Amino acid sequence: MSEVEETLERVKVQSGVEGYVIASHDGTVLRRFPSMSQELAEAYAESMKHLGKKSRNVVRDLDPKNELRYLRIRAKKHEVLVAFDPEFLVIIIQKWTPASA
Amino acid sequence: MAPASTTNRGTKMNINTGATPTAKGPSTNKSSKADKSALPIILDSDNVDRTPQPLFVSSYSLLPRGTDAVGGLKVGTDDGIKFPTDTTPLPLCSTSPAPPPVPLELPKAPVATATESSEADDEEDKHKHKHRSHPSHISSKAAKEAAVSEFSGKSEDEEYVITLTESVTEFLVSIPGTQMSNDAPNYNAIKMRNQAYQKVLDGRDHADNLQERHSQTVNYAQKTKSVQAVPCTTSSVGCQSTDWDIHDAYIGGEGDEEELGKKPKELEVGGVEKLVRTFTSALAAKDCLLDIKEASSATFSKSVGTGTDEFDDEPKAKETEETNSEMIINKKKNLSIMSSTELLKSLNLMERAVQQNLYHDSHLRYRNYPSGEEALIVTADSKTSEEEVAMEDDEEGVSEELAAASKKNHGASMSKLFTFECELSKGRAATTMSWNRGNKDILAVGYGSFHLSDMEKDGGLVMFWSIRNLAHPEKIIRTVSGVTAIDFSTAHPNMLAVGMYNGTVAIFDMRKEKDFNVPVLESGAMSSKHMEPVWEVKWVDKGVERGESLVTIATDGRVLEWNMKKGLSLTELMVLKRIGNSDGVISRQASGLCLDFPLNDSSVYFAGTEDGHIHRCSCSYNEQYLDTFSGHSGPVYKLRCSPFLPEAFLSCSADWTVKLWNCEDTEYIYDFHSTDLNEVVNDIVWSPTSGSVFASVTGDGRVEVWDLEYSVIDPKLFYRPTKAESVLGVTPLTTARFSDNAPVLATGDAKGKVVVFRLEGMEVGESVDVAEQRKKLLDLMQPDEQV
Repeated sequence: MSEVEETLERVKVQSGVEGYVIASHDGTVLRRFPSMSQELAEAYAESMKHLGKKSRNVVRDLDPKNELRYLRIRAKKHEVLVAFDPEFLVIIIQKWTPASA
Repeated sequence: MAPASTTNRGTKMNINTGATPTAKGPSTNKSSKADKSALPIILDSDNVDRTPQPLFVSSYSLLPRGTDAVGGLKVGTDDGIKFPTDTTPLPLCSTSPAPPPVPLELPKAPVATATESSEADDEEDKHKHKHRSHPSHISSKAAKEAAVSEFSGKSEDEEYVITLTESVTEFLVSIPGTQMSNDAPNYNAIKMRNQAYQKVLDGRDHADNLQERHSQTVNYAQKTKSVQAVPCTTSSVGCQSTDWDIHDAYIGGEGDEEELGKKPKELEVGGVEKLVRTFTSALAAKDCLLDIKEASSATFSKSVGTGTDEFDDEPKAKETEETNSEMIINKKKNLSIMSSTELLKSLNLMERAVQQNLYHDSHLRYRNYPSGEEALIVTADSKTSEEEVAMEDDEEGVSEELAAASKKNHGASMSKLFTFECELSKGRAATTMSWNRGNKDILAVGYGSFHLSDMEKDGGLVMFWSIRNLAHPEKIIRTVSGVTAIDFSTAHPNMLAVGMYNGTVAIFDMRKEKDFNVPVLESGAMSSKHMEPVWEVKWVDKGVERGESLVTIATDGRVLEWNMKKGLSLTELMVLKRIGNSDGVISRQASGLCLDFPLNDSSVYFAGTEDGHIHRCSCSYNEQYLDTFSGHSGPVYKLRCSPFLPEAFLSCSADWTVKLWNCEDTEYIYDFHSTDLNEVVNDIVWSPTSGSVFASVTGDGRVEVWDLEYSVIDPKLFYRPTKAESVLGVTPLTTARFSDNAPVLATGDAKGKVVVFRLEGMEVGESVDVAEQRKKLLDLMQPDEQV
C-alpha cells in the first residue's frame, strides 16, 4: 500500500505532471490530483473508460491473446497517459514539449 | 379376301367357333371370313386354307413327343415335322401361295398342366397328324375334327408332324370396338336400336316423356370464424461478436493455450469463479438496481459478458438509494484496488511513461540512436561538424579550453545525459558501481562511505538503476553497513557480491522477487572473515571445475578467496606484507586497497596497497610476491588490468597520478597527470571498446577521458563541474564505469548522485576487434621503439 503511495508521490512531482486520476473500471473516481476538480476527474474517468473499452476491442480483435496495456493521447495542450487493467485505470495528464516529441 | 382380324385363340372364342365350323364347313368366302374372330381355320373360296400362321414359334416343337413333362411332343414315324408340300397359306397373308410354313403346334405354356394338356394334345395331335398343314393350334375337338375331316386323306404320307399348342391367352385390356361391320350377325338388331335412339334424340325437344329439370344442391350456410394466436413474447438481444469474444468464451479469457489442456471441470470451476467475480463487481456498481439483501436469491442475469460492451450502458434511469451495504462494498473494493499489486505495476508503468516524455531524447542518445540533429551533423562537412560537436559541451568555460587544448579536431565530446538520483541516496557517497553482465542496462550502485562517518550507522544501500526510471531505482537493498565494493557475477548474472565497510561479504540473488535483499550467503559469523572494510570484491572464473569464486581484499591486508560450494567457505590467498623498512611501523601487514585479475589468467593477480606498492601475486603461492611495482607515492586506490592486453594495467592513486604499467617491467610506462589536477584520482576504468582509451575521476569532480592514441599528456575529453556547481563545494567523484552496450560513462560522486555522460565521437562499433585493439595498445606502450 505504501509503495503505491510512494510511487504516486514520485509521479506527482515529476515535472510537467498536471494531474492524475485513479478510477475503478466502471468510472468511479478513487483518487485524483488535489488541484483537479471532481467533475473534471469524473469526466476523465468516464471518457477514458469508454475509450479504453474501444481500444481494448481493437487490440483483442487483432489478436485475442493480446491485452491493452496503456494508451497515450497527445493533444495540443497536454498529453494524457492511461494505464489499463481489468479492475481500474490510471490516468495522468502531463504537459509535453516539442523537444521531447 | 384377307381376313381382317387376328385369330383369337381364347377358349371363349373356340366355343363360338365350335358351332360354326360344323355348320359352315367348307363355307363360302364370306362366312368364313365372318367367323374370323374365332375360327381357327380360314378357308377362302377355293377352300384354300388361309389361316394366318402364328408368328411365334417355340422351340418346344423340336422336343420329342411322348415326354409328358414337355407337353406331349413326340417324334416318331407318325409324327414329325411336317413339311407340307402343297400350297398352304402364309401366316397373315393369304393372297398368294407362300412357301410352306412350318406346321408347328405350340404346347401349352403351363407345364403343370402338362399331363392334361398332353392328353388333350394327344387327341388333338392325332387329329392333327392327319392334318397336313394346319398352321395354328387347335384346342377344341370340333375344330380339329373339321380339320381332320379335310385332311384325313393325307395321313398316309410319311410325314413327321410336330404339333404345338398355344397357351391360354390372357386378356390384359379388352376394348371392344364400337364399330361393327355390316356383316355382323346382330347387325340388324343394333341398327334398329341405333335408329330408335336417334328417334328419341330427335323427339327430345317436344317429347312428353322428356322433361328438363334443374336442381340445386343444398348450400350450407357459411359462417366466418377467426382465431388469433397469442403472440410469442419477443425480446431483442444484441451482441457484438468479436474475435476476442469468441476466444474468451472458448478459453475462459484468462488462459492461453495451456488452458485448452485443462479438464472441462477445471474450466468450469474457473468459469464459476469468474462469474462470481463479475457478479460481485456488478453488484458493487453504483447504479446497480439489485438490492443487496436479495443477493442470495438473485439470478445471475446481471452478470454481463465481455461481448456486450456496446450495450453495457448501466441503466441511469433509476438510482437506488445507497444502502449501507453497498457503501461498504464500495469502500472495500476501493481499498482492495488501492492496495493491489496491479495498481502498483500500472503506476510504475505510468511513472516510466511520464519520464519518457521528459527524457526521451536522453534515452535515444543513450541507445545511440541518431537523433535528427546528429544525423545532419554527420553528413555535414567534417571540420565544421567537429566544431559544432565540440561546442555542444554543456560547460561554458570548458569548451573553449577544449578547442584550444586539442592539437587537432578529434570530433569527440562528452556531455551529461542524465542523473540517477533519489531521495534515499542523497547524502550517501556512491562508492562503487557495477553494470549487470546479463542485462546491460542495469547499473548497480553501492552507497556507503570511505571513512568512518555518521552515515555509517544508517547502513548502506545498493540500488539498481535503469534508464527507464531516473527518479527511483528498480530495486533497493539495504545493508547493515556501508557498501564499499560490489560486483556482478559473469557466470550467474543474477548474483551480486557486496563488500561492506565492516568487513562483511554478502552475496545476493537478484532473481528473487521478494527476498532479494536478504543475502543468500553472508560471511557474518565466520571467524576468519575480513574485519576491515572490503575494498574490492571480484568474481573470478577459475575454470570449468572450480567454477566461479569470489576474491576480496580488505584493509587488513588479507586477500581471501571465497567458495560457495557448501555455504560460504574461504581460503586465504595472501597476506600482504609490508616491504621495505619495517621498523617503526605498527603492523607488518600492508593494507590492501585494490585488486584485479589480468585477462584470461585467473591464477595471478595484482594487488595495490596503501603504501603505494603494487604486487603481483600468485593464487597458489601465498608467501611471496611474484613482482612488485613501485612508483606511486601515495596509496593506490584502484588497479585495473586492460581488457585487451593482459600485460598492461593502470593504477590510480592519491598522488594525483594515473600510471600505466607493463607487468614485465617494474617501471611504469606512462604517468598521466593533468597539469591542473591537485586532487586524488579515485577511480580509473578502461574503455571496453577501445584499447587505448580509459577514464579517470578525481576528487575535484573532474572526469577525464584519456586516449593514448591521441595524447598521453592531456586527456582527450574531460568534464569539469561548472563554476555554478562548485560554489557549494566540490563533490569528489568516487567511481566510474563504462557501459558495455552504450556509449556512456557512468560516474558516481560523494553526494550520492550518479551522472551518466554520453561520449560522442568515440568509436563504439558493433563488434570490437580484440586483436586490433591489443596491437594498438601494445604499440602505444612501446614509445621508445617508435620512430
